Amino acid sequence: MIQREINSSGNERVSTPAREVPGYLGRVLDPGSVPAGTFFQVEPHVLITACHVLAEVGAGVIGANVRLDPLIGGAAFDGRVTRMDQAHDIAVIQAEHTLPTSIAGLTATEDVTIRTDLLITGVSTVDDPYHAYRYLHAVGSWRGTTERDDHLQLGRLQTRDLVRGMSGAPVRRLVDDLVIGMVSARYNSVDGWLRDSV
Amino acid sequence: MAGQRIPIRVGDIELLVETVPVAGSEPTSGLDAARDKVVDAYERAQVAIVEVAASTADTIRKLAARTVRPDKLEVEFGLKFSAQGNVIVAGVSGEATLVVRLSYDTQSGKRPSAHAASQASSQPRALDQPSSDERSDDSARDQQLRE
Repeated sequence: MIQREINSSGNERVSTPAREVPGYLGRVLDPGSVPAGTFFQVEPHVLITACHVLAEVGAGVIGANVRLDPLIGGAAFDGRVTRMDQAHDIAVIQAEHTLPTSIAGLTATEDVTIRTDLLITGVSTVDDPYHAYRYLHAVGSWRGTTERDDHLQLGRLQTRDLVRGMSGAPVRRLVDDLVIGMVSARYNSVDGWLRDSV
Repeated sequence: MAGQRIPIRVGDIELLVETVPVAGSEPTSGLDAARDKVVDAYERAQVAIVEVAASTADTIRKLAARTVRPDKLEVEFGLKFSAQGNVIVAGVSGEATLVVRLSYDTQSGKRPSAHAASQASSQPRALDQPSSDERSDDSARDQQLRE
């Protein structure tokens, strides 16, 4: 999924084909099979998504069943919510089905260097009355961590491409595809200050 | 920054309601929860209109108590909705968010006494129905208080 090339100068060039969707990504579906958000597989049968996505599909409690399908396309399957951290908006789902691949790995958010290039791929709800887009890629740049309300550690990135539906998607470091976080919310700026913050 | 256009059903008609963006964090899930919030906001807006009208009537009563009851009082304001379901009082005329017009008929020279005003305020006239004296626009003095 990540292509590495070494040019004549010995420098490594890393690219992600725009049309490729990682096999470890999937969609959280509501009872009408409308996608509400994104999930990713950390190891076979173990999936991660955002608590508020589960709440929107009526599965916002431990033990709830939730309908899922692969982002790349394929049959839907069921999962069961096994862990929820409401403060950090992270939930774990145990799935009966396993996706083709799992993420390359996790890395500590605090260790990521400012301005690191990032990639988010996920469900996309686009304001287009005549068309639907199953997924989109959002390229971003790391902007470090912050502390909200004196107790909650959050990471922040800057991107213009994030759309609704990407909640629960992994924030991946472009150079090695390691996951440094998960999409939860964006900041809406009216006056232009802090715009494009996720 | 443009707002979303959210379809809501009012009676038998589906309307596209344009929302205004407000600053703050917003979850990025895909379902259109904003629709339900705007429907709620629309219902609360109707309550807001009644409350503003009641407050305006109260203002007339207070003015009457000071023998400066206007012949006509107009309040002009706009309401907008956010995708989060807030009802926002918004400007409709120039830069003003709330326009208040007090009109006095100087030609008739009438200035109700406190007693007369008190009687008048017990049966307030509809704000959108000017008296015959008020139809002579060139004799009226409009005072606009802009907040």
